[in-house]
Amino acid sequence: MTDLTRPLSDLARLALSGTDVVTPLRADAWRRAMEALTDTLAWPTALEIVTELEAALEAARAEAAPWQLAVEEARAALAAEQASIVAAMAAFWAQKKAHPEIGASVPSEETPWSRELKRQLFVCEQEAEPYENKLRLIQQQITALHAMQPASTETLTRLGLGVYDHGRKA
Amino acid sequence: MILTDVQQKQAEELGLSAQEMMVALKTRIPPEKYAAHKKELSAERDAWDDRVAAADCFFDEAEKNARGVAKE
Repeated sequence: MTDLTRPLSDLARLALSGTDVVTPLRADAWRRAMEALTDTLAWPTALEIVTELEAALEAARAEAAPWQLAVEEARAALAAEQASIVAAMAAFWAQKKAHPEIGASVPSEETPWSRELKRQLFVCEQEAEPYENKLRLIQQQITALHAMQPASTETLTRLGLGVYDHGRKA
Repeated sequence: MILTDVQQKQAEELGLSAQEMMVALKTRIPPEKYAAHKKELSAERDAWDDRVAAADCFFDEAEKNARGVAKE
């Protein structure tokens, strides 16, 4: 079990340690931290970790933004190119159907530019993926911590901790 | 990865979008080389367009001829 007497930053670091790369070891460390924090008495500590995780989430969002935008732009450019190709091909085949006797050669259904756009999209997606995983993990961890909120506000009141709503003191 | 002001300026000068500049840098292709490659591809794309247009003209011409023959 994780030692809850350790400084908060240690626990927060432990919680965040799973956000870089998903590995069984880190996932296990995260699970153990969560187990340790399921004690009601640990809820204020969990809240502080949530606050740190939320700050980490904001930082991760800023980190992820350029590549996420690049993915969107690459997708839009590829979609536009493919739409243009489809339109041209549709016109070509309509003509060909009307004049089957004419042997005009079929233009390729892929342009060099569409191939390059696919490559660009692949690179952008590859680059964005770790950032998106990180965002997802932090979000999951925040959700997991919120889920630990004690159902009974009485317990918190008795402990003099007040009522918490979505991780923040009301 | 965010482009620096210098990289952003270079991208603009080379006619690359920010996304293309990021891809070039990430795949370790010198931006100048990537811009040249982009120009080549654009030329090939134009050639593809010309080919489609030529096919359309070919069909239009054939249709006109066919109509002409039918009138005669």
